[in-house]
Amino acid sequence: MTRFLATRVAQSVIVLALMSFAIYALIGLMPGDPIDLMISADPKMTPEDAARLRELYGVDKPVVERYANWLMAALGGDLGYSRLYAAPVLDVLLPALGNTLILLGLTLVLSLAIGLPAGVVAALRPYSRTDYAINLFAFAGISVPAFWLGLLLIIVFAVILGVLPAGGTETVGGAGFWDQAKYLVLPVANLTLASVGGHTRYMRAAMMETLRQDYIRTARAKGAGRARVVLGHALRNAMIPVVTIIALQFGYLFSGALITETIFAYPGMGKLIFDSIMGNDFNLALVALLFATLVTLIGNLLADVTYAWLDPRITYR
Amino acid sequence: MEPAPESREAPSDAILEVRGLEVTFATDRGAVKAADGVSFDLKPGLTLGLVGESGCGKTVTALALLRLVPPPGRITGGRVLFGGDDLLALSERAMEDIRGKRISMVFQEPTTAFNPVLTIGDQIAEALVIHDGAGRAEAHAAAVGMLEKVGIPDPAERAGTYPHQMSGGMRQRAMIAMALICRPDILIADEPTTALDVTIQAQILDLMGEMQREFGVAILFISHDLAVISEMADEVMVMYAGRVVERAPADALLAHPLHPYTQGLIETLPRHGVGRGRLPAIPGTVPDLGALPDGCRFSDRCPLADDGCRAAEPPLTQAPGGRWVACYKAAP
Repeated sequence: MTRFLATRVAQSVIVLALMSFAIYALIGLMPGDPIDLMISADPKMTPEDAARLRELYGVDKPVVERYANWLMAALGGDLGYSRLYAAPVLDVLLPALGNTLILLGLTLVLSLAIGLPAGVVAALRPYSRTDYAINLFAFAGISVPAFWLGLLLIIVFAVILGVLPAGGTETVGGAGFWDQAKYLVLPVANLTLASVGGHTRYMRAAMMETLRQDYIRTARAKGAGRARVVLGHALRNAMIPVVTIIALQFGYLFSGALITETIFAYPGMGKLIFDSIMGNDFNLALVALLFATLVTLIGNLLADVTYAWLDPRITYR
Repeated sequence: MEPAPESREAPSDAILEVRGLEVTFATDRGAVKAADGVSFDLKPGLTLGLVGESGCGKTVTALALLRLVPPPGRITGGRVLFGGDDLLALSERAMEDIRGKRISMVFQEPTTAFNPVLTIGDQIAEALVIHDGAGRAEAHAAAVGMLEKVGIPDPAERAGTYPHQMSGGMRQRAMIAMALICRPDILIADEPTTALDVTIQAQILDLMGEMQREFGVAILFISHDLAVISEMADEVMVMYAGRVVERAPADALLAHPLHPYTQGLIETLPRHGVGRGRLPAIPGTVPDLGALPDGCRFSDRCPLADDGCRAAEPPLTQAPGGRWVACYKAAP
C-alpha cells in the first residue's frame, strides 16, 4: 500500500506538470492579452508604450519560453501576481479555496447522509409506493436546473420569509460563527438538492443489484434478519460502485459550482476561475485551475484507497 | 454399488413431512407451477436424494422448505411439517430462527455463495452469533473448530482469509462447516458438487457422509446426476416438470426403476466395461412448464404412452416394497 501511494503521488506530480503546461498553452491561445486590456483602459497610450509594456511583462516571448519562466518562478514559491485583484495570487486564492471546501464538504456530507439511506430504503421495496416517492424526489432534484432552484430559494427564504440572507458570506462588520452559518444555508441547500438525487439513484441501483447476489441468499439461509442482511452483508458490497460516483463528484463540485456561487454571491473557486479567465488574469486562472486538477486527483486517489478498504479482493502493489 | 447396511433400512419417525407443496411463478404468459404437489418425508440420519433434469423444480422445492423462493415465485399450497409446526404458516421472524439453526443449506456455487468482503471465519461464525448469541471470540473459536472438522488445513489461519483466497473445493468444505455449525437437524444440499472437479467431488461426498454419521443430520441431497445420488442417498425421489414421478429406496430404484422416465435416466448412465457405442438418451426435451402436454407430463417423450396416458395425469400411487410411482404403465 505504501508503494502504491508513493507511485500515485509521483503520477499526480507528473499529471500536474503536464496540466500546468496544457493550461498555460491554452490560456496563451485565447484572443487578447493583459496589455490589450490596459490599452483599452488608457486611450492616451501609444503603440510604443504598448510594445514597451509587452516587453516588460514578457508577453512578447514565445509560449514555451514564457512557460519556462513561470515554472522556474513557481517552483521557487512565486506564483505571481493577480492583475484583476491587484494582490499576490495565493492571497486571492486561499480565501476562495477555504470557502469552497466548506461549501463542498457540507454539501457532500448532507447529500450522502440523505441520499445513501434513501437509496437503500428504495432498493429494499422496489416498485412500492415508498420507492416511487423517493424516485420522484430524486428525479426532481436531478432535473430541476440549479439556477432556477437557487432563485426560488432566494425568493422564498430571503424575499418572502426574510429569514435567510440572499447572498454573501457574512454580515458587514462580521457577527461571528452563527452569522456565517446563516449565509451558508441557501447555497448548501441548493447544491445538496442538486446532487442528492444522483446519490439516491446510484445507491438504489447498486443495492438492488447486490441484493440479487447468491451470498445474500446464503446470509438469509443462515437466519440473518433484514437489518443484518442489508447492513452486514449488502451495504459494503453495494458501496463499491457508489464510491466511484462520489469521487467523480468531488472534482466537479470543486470547480463546477459556478452557478450556485454566482447566484448566492458566494466567493468560491468556481466563480474565481470564471472571473480570472474572463478578466485575462493569466496567473490567477492558471493556479486556480491547477488546484482544481489537484483536488480531482486527490478525489480519485481517495476512491482507490476506499476500494481497497471495502473490498479485500482489491490489493495494490 | 455396495449393498446397503441394515441400519439404513430401519424406518424411523420423519423429522420433516412435506405434503402437497406447490410453488407458482408468475410469468408473462401466466402462472406456472415449478413444484406441483410435492410430498416426501425426511428421516433423521438418512439421506433423501432428489434427482431430475435442470428446471424440473428441484431447487425451487429446496428453497421452499426454507421459504427462500425468489420472486416472482410464491409458495401457493401445501404444508411443511417440522417439529409440530407448519413452516409455511410461521411468521418471517419465527422462520429466521429455523434457518441456519434447525435447517440449513449448502449451495451449488461455493464461489458466489460466500460474501466476498467478509472473512470465511466470520461467515461461518455468523449463524452462532445470530442464533446462540455467541460472543465474537467464542463464535470464532467454534468456526475454527468446525473448519478443522471439515478437513481444512491450518484452520485458525484459514478462518482469517477471504473466499477468493481459497480453492473451490476448500470453499465447499467451508460452506459445509458454515451449514453445520449450529448442529442442524436437516441439511439441504443443492447440487453441492456440481461446480467442482470430479476428484474434489468424491472428497466432498465423503465429507458429507462423514458429517452425517457424526451429527446424525437428515440430508436432502439434490443433484441432476444419478451417479452422485446413488452414492449418497438412502431413498431417491425423481422429479419431472415439477412433479414427483417416482420415490423408492435407493437400491430398489436403481436396480429396478418403475417409471419410464427413471428407466431412461438410468440407461443414460455410462457404465464400466459395457459397450463403447453411443450413450442412450431420452428423446425430446423437458417440456415448457407453461405448455405441458395433456395428461401425463412425460407422455410426449414416453415410449409406452397411449391415449389413456394423454387423457389424465397419473397420481403418485403406492407400489410394493415401500415404493411410489406415478405411471399407469408401471409394472411392479
